[in-house]
Amino acid sequence: MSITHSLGQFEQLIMAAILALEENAYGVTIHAKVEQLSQSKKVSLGAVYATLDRLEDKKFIVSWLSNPTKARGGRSRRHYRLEKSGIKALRESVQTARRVSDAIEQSWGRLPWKPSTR
Amino acid sequence: MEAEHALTGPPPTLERIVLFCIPPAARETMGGDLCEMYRSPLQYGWQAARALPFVIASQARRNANFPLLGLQGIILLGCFGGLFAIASPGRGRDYAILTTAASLLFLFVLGAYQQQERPSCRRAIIETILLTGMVGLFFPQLLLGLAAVHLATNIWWPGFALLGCVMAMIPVLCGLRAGLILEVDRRHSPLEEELSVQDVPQDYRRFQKQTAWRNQIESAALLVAAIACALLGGKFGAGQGCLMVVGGFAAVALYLLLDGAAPALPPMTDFLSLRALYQYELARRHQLRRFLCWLWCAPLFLMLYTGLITHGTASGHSSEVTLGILAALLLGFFIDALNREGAGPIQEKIALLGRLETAA
Repeated sequence: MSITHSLGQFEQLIMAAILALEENAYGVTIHAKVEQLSQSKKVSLGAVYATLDRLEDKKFIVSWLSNPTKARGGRSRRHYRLEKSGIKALRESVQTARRVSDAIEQSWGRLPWKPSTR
Repeated sequence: MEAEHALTGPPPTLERIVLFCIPPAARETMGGDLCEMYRSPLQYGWQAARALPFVIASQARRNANFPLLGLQGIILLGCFGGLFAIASPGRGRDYAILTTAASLLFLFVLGAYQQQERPSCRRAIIETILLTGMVGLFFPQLLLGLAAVHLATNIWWPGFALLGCVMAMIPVLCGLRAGLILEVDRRHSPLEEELSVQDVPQDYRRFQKQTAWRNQIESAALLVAAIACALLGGKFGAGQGCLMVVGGFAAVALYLLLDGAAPALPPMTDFLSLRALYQYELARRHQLRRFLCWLWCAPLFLMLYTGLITHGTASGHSSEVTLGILAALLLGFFIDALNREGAGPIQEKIALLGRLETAA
């Protein structure tokens, strides 16, 4: 696997949120979706922006501005979409996570005690 | 939901303060998002305060030109007497390193607030006053550093007299920057919004060809300059500084030849991906130009360093040392002004491409 395609856990969360939100992926909705995906963890809006910038620099996502709206004080939304390289990176991350999960499951089967899954 | 938010927005004063603190590149998006998430002034302020450090750091990283910061670090360290003191531990070295680190941090954070459109005279004048104020703030540190390593005796009076000269030169510096802006505006008329989505691939190919031949010419010129510096440096005994300049010239020439050109247009690219690529390459080109501008002037800095600062230190002429330092700072100011004002048309092109997507 190429090093340039590796994704951190938070990057995976952001990309998963963009993928799930489809056409409606912008700062506010991505932040809400990431909080939902990370389950009860408080996520800073700033961390979301910083990660979006980083993913854009890595050319995993691409952004564009929508038309300004009144609800936003006459400002535009910056929408995001996954690029082909981003989809590939996310797919590789999922496959790696699956392999890690399988390995842990197999190891747990050999343990004399049952680890808590909570 | 949207209509509900439209009725209750953040207080205008608070919103203005928050928008002022947000770096220009993120202002539209983050300002809008905060407005959309608004529940109360406290929540708005707290949300903004929590997000701002991340956004400033992210924008500073995106706009940072690390090779240029390295080059500026060497020049600043030279100005603050660090190149003399680096081998001898003590107060002088600590002063020099701390002041250089503080200056670089200031420049790094300032990068986050890089303009997104053509520079205005008003902003240029404010920036000049701010920068001169920063020089004034660091000047006593500089003198303390030099005095601490006994590089030059009796440095205080000539030092403060020259600082007074810099302060008195503020109107001249402001006029210089405003003049450069007006000159760039005169030579490059504002881009008309004629570029359509269909024109962008052709425009990118033209840009790619232009950058390719410019890189070839510039790398050849850099190699010639490296050879000339090596010959002249050997003749005048410029030593390690000259070797660094020659090495820098050769390395950048090689980079321009190998990796400096914009990549070819990938097949089957949609408009959004092409626009992102074009904007990225324009920004990269701008960063490269900024670095090259400083690199081309590196021999001048070296001449000031060896001719005035080192010579003044060796002969005990404190006025020569301070004059050398101030000349280096003014040269740096001039190069930076040239870079900032010359970048206006590039920023305008990036912004124009950004607006195109909205219409697409």
